[in-house]
Amino acid sequence: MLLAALAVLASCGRPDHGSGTPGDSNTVPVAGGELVFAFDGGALTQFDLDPHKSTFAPHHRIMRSIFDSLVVLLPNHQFGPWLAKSWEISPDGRTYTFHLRNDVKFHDGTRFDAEAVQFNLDRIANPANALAALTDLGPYVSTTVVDDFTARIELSAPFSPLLANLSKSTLGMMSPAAIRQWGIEVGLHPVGTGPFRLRSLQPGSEVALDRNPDYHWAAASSAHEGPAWLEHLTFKDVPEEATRAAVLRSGQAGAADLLGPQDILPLRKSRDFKLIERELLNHNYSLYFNALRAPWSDPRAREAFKDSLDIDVAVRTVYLGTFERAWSPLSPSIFGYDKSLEGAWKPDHERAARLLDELGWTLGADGYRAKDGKRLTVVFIDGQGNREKRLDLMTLFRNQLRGNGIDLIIESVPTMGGYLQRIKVGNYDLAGGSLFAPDPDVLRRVDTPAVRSLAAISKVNDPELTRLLEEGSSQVDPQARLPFYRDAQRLIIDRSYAIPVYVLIYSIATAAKVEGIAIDGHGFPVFNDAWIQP
Amino acid sequence: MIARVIQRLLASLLVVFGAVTAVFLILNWLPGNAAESIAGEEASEQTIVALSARLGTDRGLWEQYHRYLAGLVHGDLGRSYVTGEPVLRHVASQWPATLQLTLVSSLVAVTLGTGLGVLSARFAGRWFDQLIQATVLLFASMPTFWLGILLMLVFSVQLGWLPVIGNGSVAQAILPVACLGLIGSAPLARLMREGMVDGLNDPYVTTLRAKGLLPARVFYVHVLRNALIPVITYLGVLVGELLSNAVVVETLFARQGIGRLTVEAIGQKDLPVVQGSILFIAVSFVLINLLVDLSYTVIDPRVRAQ
Repeated sequence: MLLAALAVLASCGRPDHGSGTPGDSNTVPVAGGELVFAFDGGALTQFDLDPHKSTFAPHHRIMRSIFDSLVVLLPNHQFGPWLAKSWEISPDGRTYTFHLRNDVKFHDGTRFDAEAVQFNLDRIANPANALAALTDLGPYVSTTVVDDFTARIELSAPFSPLLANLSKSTLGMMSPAAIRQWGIEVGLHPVGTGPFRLRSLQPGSEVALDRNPDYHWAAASSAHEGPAWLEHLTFKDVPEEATRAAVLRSGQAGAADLLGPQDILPLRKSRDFKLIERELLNHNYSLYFNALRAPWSDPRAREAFKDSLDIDVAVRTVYLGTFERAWSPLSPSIFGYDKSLEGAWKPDHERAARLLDELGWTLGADGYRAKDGKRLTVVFIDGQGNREKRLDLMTLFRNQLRGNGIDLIIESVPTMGGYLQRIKVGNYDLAGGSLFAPDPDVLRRVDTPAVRSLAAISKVNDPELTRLLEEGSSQVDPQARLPFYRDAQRLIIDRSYAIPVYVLIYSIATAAKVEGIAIDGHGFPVFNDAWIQP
Repeated sequence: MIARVIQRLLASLLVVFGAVTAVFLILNWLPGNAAESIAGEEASEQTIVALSARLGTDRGLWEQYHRYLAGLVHGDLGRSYVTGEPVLRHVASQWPATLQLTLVSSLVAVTLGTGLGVLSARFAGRWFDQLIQATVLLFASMPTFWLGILLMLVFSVQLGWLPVIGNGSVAQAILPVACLGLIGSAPLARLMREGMVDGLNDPYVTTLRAKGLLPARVFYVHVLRNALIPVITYLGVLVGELLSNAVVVETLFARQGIGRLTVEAIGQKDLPVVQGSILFIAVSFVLINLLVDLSYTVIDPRVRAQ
């Protein structure tokens, strides 16, 4: 059995080599070798590695190694240089001038310069291209090529999330030549400036990358300058959780991500494996009411629902301590997170019962509440199967709610299209979702009617919240943003628009000999510093 | 004989056409539209309209169908809504893996199934027969998924003999094939046993025995050959069943394959990919059933005489 008893290495978010790890293992990185990384590719078998187009986090985990960004997100919400050496923001917050490195080449040998930045951003901004990264650009107007290596981005209004968004892989820099050559198929021929470049791509099965030998423009967060240590990096799409654990344990893969809680617990104690964990900067998975539909348009009904839930117990039961419960829609490491919300609300069955009585929902002989002969039901819809064990959570909630006479109906809609359609027309009471994002501006994207799409699960339309979120995104001074986001988070919880459930911890389990895999500030894996003990 | 083949081929063409049309209608009838599901939850209406126009899903149903058929006749299956890749190339890249998996598993299922069935009939009523029947019942009631995980834990994690995932080498195919083959063998074993046990009671066997034929010859030549006919009929069904089970095995063993591709494409309403996959599956299913039909002529003289 591989379940060895001694606990050796636990979590680490930053590369730790070169710093004298105890034991007999080598601590000086060794170049060469291949790392096979088994990743949770979900149901998708079609790899579409166009960072501007894809919203699928698992594919961005691959793309992060192929595409670089202008800036990198550092700890403490600071930004460091990457493809841009430095930048200036005009006092009115509408002009960003980036001074680019002049020694960067794309994998196809073409030069990275201000024209490439312009080409990339204009491509995204053109609505006809229908690219998902469009929302990341905010009030973007244009990019001006000041000189070969100076690019100026003009906005129509101040937009403080811009730097954070530019550090995301969704605004990664693609080779204009490749985009021209491949057109809409460019997602099968990704060409960036990153530490690894594409060798081959087998749809649904694997993406094989080779080290980029020219790479010497690593992000400020990187542990070393120069090309990656690994000769080859192979991403294998292994959608089954049990299989990912098996490939890692059998040695067929050196690392695997997002194992189930039942697999993570023994790994934490094993000395044959290591576990790297880091919070994904995220709009936490939260339940949203269809606040346009009775009775959930009434805040008292939403509160009664919230008071009937014991989220602590449910999250602990389903994730066995591998995920924490959430207190705010924002994950704790996002800029502006309101820590004072922690512990500020808890289950209260008596209050819930009182509120429901007040609203005229009286308890019947069958144990459910009813009003005018109609049972108090909540139709929850989901379109992603049991992703992240969300339906297991809902099943626990269903039992908790029954204690207060509320009948939760869980409907798993088989197709994404069908699910989005129902959200769009409002044919549901409750839905849940998350959205990876580096900035509290994600709340504006979700909770303000003018910005979000019709298929957004939040139907919140609260002028006070809209004002707070608009103010928050247009402050030029970061510190000035804080009070707006604090109030916005409070308001969302107090008025029970959203019920945050858990904080997603992105985790990678590796064989003991695999060193230096890092998880970046956003929660995406970085392999530039990874190496394998010989 | 040739007339029969031509007749069957024409009928097959009709079946394939029907399948393609049915899939087209069902997918369009499903709620939601492709542009919405591809653009994602955050997409603006503007983005969705632009995408619909590019994909051609904003056109009328009849026009879309007409365009699809016109393309099909010219060998153009369209492009994936998701990746923009030509469907023919995409499906053709996934198809060999599934075909291989299904055919090899069928072979394993047939060999194992008929073998167990014959043995079972040979020792009918004795403890060995009961052991085989119990084993077969176990295979028949095991979920593919569960068996797969079990095989993986024993042969890859514990013993370290075989790789868990991938679809390049023979070693990588052993576990998935074993998984499908074991499950597929169960109905065949039962069919074979029943056919042989029933056959042994037929009057012609009494005649053969009266004529002084060796019991082994009666059993392994005459009874076996007759018992094979329902088994061969079942082959067509078996291939269909294995094709649908391939979805589970492909996901579990992280293999490439048309099963996974189809299910995913349905979820995304990637109509051209679903159509292309169904086309490949339908054509192979029809061809295999045609082969099964034709093989009767070899095995069953009554059919040849018709």
